[in-house]
Amino acid sequence: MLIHELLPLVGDAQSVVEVSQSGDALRELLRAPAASAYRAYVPDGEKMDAGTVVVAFLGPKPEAHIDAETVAPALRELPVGGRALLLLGWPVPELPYHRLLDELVTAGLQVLQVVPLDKVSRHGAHCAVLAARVDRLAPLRTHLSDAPLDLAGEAPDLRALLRLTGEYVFGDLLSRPLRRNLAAAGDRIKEQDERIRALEKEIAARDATIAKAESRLARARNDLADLRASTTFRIGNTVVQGARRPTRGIVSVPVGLVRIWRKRGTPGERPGPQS
Amino acid sequence: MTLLTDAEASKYWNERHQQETDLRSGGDISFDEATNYMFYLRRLTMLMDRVGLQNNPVAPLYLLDAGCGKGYFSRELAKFGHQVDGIDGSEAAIAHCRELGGGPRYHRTTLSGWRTPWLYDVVFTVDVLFHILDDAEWERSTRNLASLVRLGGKLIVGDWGEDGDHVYGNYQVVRGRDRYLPLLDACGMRFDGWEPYRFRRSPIGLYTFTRIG
Ligand SMILES: C[S@@+](CC[C@H](N)C(=O)[O-])C[C@H]1O[C@@H](n2cnc3c(N)ncnc32)[C@H](O)[C@@H]1O
Repeated sequence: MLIHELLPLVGDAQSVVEVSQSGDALRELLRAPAASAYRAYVPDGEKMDAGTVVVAFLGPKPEAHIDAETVAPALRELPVGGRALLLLGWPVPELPYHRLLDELVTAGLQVLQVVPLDKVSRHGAHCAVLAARVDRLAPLRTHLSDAPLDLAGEAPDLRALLRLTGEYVFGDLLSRPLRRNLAAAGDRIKEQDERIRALEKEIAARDATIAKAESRLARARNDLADLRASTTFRIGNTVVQGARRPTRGIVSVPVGLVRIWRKRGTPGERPGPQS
Repeated sequence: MTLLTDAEASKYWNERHQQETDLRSGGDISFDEATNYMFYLRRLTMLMDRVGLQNNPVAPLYLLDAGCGKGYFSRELAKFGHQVDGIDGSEAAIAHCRELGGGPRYHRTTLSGWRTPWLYDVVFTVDVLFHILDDAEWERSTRNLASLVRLGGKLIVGDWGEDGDHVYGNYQVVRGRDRYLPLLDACGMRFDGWEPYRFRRSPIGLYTFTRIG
């Protein structure tokens, strides 16, 4: 449902009393009709009557929302027939309604409908509570009903109340395993997140070890190349070759040594990466 | 004319769902596919009037399509964002529904045998109850469907709007107001009205009941 569909749902509001002090913001969101007088709530101010609708925006952000205690005095001033339209700024699956429900019941209001709202990102209201001050039970309403409130309609009879309490008890029973499963799923997700973080750390540590080993290897290769290119190594090598093949060595060792002597001081050819 | 037994009727439906085209198999077999398409659309809009024109993805409506056949109504209503369970006794129909997917969850069961921990906002059964030929099974099915409707929710039943029963062929027994109203009143359901399909010469229409107790 759209936020501006809410006031028509409450029925004909002769006066709208805003508790949240939003300036014009809430009035504009609700598109309060010009015909209805819109005023800010003043404790024990102008008397409310059956044509009054108390509106407020409750939620988790103190800078934008009020809380249940703040709206309570206005609710208590509503006479029988007076109504409340309360926008709630919590996501529906996380709705902490217990406090508000306390205040509504204390003020003698019946919760008639809780309406999930569209376009939450635009206004931040996830749902709206429609409630009325009653001296007997008002007709029950269905989820997503968009018929205007009718407080004068037939009150639910004993059979409806038996049904209501029965549905509540069974619903409550069934919601318990769901709630447990949900919590267990949350735990599993948390566990998996932790495991993922631990694995990421492990991978980072291994990457660091590999990087260190690679730089050690590169250094060793450079050292080896430098060693191979050094005059001492090459003289030693020529002598070793001569010692291995004494017949050829008589000629080749002196020739090799002369070549090395001549080239001394010029850097040796570096081995390639695969050498 | 002797009526089919339960077993013969369920065999009949399973074979019809295997052999017939999509809409003729669960629709009116005397019409061609295109006419059935009109017939389905007419009844879909009647269902929309009763289910309402609101939806919500966070807190959707829960619907039961009882005797869903090949699932036309289930799929169309699921497209509106509602959560739909479709049940039918025919294995072939349910297999077809599952293959097409589209959101609803399907279960093969009789109307009288469907058990679930969840109640529904709306239970509808379009042109199914008059195919249940045995009176006792019809009553068990009707009572079971009513019991699945939550307080304030609706039960929508396709059947004829007159008093008394009438047998068509060997596989249809239409039952009227004098059957549905007292039975469902005793189940805590208020009778809201009956509206004819107004489709060609069909004598059938939709009963709407609301659970008030
Ligand atoms: C005329 S078709 C209607 C199908 C669907 N409602 C539609 O309009 O497309 C009747 C359907 O009811 C099913 N059916 C008949 N008796 C049933 C029972 N006792 N339990 C479950 N399904 C049944 C049949 O299998 C068949 O799919």
